[in-house]
Amino acid sequence: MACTATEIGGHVLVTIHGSGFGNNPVVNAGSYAAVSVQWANGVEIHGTVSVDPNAPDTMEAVTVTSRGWGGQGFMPAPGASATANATVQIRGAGAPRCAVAILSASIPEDRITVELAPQGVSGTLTVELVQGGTTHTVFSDTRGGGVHNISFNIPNLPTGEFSQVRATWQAGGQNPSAIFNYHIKVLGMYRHTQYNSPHENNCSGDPSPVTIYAINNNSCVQTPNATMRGGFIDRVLNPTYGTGSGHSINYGDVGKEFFCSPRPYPTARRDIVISGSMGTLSNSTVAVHPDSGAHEPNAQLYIHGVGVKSVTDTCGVCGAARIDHYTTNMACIGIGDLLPERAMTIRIY
Amino acid sequence: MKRNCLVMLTAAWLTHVLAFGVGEFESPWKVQKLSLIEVKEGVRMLTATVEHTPDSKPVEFSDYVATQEIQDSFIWGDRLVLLGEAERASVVEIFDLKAKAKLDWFVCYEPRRVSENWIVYKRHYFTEAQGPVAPLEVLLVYDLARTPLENRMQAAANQRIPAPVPMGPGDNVVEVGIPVYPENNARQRSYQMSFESQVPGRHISLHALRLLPSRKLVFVCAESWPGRGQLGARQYLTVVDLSRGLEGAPSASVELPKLGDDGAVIAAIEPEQPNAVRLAFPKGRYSMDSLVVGLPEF
Repeated sequence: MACTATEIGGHVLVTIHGSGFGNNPVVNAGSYAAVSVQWANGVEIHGTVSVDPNAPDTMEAVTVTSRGWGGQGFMPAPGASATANATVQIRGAGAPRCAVAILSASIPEDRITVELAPQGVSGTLTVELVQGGTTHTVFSDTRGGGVHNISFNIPNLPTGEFSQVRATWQAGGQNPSAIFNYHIKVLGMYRHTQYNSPHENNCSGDPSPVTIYAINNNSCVQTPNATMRGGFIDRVLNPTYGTGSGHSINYGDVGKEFFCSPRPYPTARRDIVISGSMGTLSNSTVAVHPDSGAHEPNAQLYIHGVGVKSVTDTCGVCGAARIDHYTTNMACIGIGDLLPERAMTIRIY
Repeated sequence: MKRNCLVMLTAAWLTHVLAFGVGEFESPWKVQKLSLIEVKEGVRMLTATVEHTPDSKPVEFSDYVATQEIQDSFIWGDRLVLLGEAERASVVEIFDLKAKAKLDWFVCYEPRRVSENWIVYKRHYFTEAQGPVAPLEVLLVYDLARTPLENRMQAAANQRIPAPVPMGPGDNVVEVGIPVYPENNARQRSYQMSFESQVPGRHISLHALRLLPSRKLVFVCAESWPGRGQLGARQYLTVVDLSRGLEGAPSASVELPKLGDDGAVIAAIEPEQPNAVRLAFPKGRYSMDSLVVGLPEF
């Protein structure tokens, strides 16, 4: 189906200059244009012209026929004629342009909003993610004029970085396209685990000796005869599964001691401020591996099925395909994975 | 003629490289099955079935392990080695197949086998919820040809080796292996790590690490500023010369050009010439697909 004009075929004011028109001339502009005379005064003819919307490119003769003054018949001067000719050029409008625009793109909303015009036209809409010479097609199907919301098809995105979204509409023998700048890095299918800072009250076990330091004026001050519940010491300081931080009953917030003592286990520092390596910790923050490509303060990560979280901490064990989510749940045990399966993970800029 | 010579030299070089690579050498043992069953949080029961190939005799044994997920396993001599993950650390567990018992185990980060009997890894430290500090990471090598005690720079007289699972107070499953980088740690045979709060720390990136035929260990390091992560990090290629052994190994670094805001992503380090390596980048990511870097002399 060809695109159809909607804004052509209107009336345009026209003035013809000359002499001897009389006040009631007849104007003929050929097969594709019609001139309606509004008034004439002998040297000017004022009227409107309308052109056939389907007119081709053509040259047409315009003929003015005078009917004399007052319509009483043309009284020719010697050598004069009642008619005069001129030539006008008509430029065919042809098919109007089909247009495509990308109004927005959002991974968290899983939506690319595309507007196609004009209405009533249909063709193949293709939406791609672009980075340099690399493209990934997220959608390709028939769509008509109007506004369309297209899914990124997130679970099937390939790993890689993309900086633009491109929409192309093959319609009416045309191929208009539009580019929208939208920067994402698809990290891939990641495992999503959780970590926390347990509270000693939630841990079992008898009081056990633990080496606890406080830092006072850059000096290490050991707390004599310190004890904490065995389950709490284990959950916080055990190198295989310890969280590295916790809320103790008697020593404020505690963390692994890494300055005062070479003794690996169990040594702790008391009265610390629990925070991540790049910012505060909350239910909206995650820890990532330094090689993840997202190890920057407040880098935004979209996790399919979860939403957007901010990077504020470092996860040494996460490697290439794991992200650790902080939770304010202060349980001592039972903090399992956030999701039962791996989920698509995307850095958004 | 010149070209032929070059081809022959390259072929000889490649043969050398291939001959040196990690591979299955003759072992009287073959792994048939490894299974893990959860006992309690942080503890699993490993059941291993191996075959003693000379007499086709299956051998089965079980033991408590810290490993929650096995990522790699191999046999060296009479030893079964598991590389895996605990809940919050990587774990290496080594079993004596003749004795059907655990020989050693330790926690670390990113262990990988780089030769028949060497496992390279980073020293374990708590990475999460430690505040805005930047660690200076330490690289270690565990040599399977040595005894567990020989793989410790210092061990308390009453230290239990292997430590039980779960470990208890006084057990040390962190300070294991021979420190090879940074050079200070290597020279002083020290496991000590520092954590910087004002100046940059150092992140050791192991995913592209390579042991060259010349026994030079090549890997990428990056600065990490306290509180800033790897944003705009300066990167450098580090070479540790292990040709004269694991103890006191010298090391040197070559700064890498800045290729991206997140730092250059290096997919692989490949031997190029005896004194150079080729850094391979992900295809199409940068204006070049690889970069040849000359290695410093020692």
